[in-house]
Amino acid sequence: MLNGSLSAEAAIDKAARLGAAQAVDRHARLAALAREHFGFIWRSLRRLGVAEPAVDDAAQQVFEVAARRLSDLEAGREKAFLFKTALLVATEARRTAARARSEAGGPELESLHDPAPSPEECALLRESRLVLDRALAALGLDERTVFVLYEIEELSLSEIAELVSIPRGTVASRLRRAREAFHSEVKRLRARREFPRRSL
Amino acid sequence: MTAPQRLIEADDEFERDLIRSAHGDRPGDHALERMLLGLGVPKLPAAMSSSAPAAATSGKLAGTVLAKWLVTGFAIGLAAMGGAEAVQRALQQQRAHAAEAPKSGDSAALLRTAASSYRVSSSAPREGTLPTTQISPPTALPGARPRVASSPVPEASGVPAPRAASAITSEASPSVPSPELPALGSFELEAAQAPPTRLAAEMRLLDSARRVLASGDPRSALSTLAEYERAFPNGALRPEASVLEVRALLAAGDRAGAEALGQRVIERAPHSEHADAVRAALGRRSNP
Repeated sequence: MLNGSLSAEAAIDKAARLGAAQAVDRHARLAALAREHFGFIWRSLRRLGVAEPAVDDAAQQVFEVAARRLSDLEAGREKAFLFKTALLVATEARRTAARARSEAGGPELESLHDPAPSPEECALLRESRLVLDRALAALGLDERTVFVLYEIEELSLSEIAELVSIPRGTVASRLRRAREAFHSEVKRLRARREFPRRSL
Repeated sequence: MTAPQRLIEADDEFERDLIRSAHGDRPGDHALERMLLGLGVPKLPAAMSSSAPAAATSGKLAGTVLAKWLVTGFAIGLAAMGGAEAVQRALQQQRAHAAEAPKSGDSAALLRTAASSYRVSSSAPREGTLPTTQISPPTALPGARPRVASSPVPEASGVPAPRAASAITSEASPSVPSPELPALGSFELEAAQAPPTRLAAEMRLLDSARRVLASGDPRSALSTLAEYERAFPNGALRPEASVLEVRALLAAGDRAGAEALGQRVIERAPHSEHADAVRAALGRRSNP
């Protein structure tokens, strides 16, 4: 009886240690995943249209999804999984922001903001980012995704194809369309910036 | 197919500046740390949190520390599973060991150290989710979000815990008084809910479907998936729901239904991982 009791306790202890070890592995993997990809995901969310104050929360949402799917995450496919999740989260964040804008007085709210902040209002870098975000906003999500990954994250066409699960040829054609739209929007914004009065 | 010249290398200086401006846009100093806390990943000892190769060796030590105090969380799960008496015996045994001088590697001593440094909170059990034990450092980072204590990290212990785990723990703990081990009842129990975002709601339903499917009840899984379809006709996780439905149909013996749905998933995005998952479920060969 005594032996039986002891062996049961030993079994419980062993099971507890095994379970704890799994939890440690899980935390360690999650931490490693976050350390490796957090910056990339944060920047991607930002350039995919999530407003700056909301990016931290959006990034957390992405990694929350990853935490829930950790056991299903295939080694080597983590970045693709995180990026796809970021796309979903960014889409939802943009939708929520658009809804909030609409409820707060119509979709024109953003366009009421001065498109050409003066040097007094912000530094040159901030102004560049503002113009960049405006230009990116003119792209469709598919084109924007490829543009951000190629031009800003400087991934190769093949890496993007892998990340977004589309053929390389599709990446190239989306990039072509994205650049055309980007050039055209930048040209328009630049004209407004240099001749703001004409755009009013 | 040659890759086009990147804008940052092109002649247009204005566009170059635009692209370059994005490179300086990065998360704040503690954003990563805050996020990990929000996920229930405790602040690890510096050696373990370092991404340098040295972490491989020193990480073992930190991992041991983690493992020791996570034993407590695991014991909570076991208690909730109906093994409260057995766990009490195990804890009493630990207490007896702890009465001796702490030795290197002694789990009780390590548990005490961890318990004095960390606040343990147990998220409230919710419909379709598992209660989890999370550990936060005693001092919050500036600006740490309240989600820290509430982020769902199911299956953290790898052990299925029933919904009433927190309640059972609270009742069981006073009967294990220990001057050496912190009484479980003294742990701060927080009933916190994650923000009810649409995506979170979708995940909850799909998690629920996945669980019942794994428990061998494909009919319930299909019913949950039908509920998902009704609630989120344009849901963000529809592809994932379709993969689950294919598996559930197969498990329910509806091979034809699974094949038909699987084919639609594959045709919609033949190179996606969802298509790969469907092919695997149907036993088809993946695309080269």
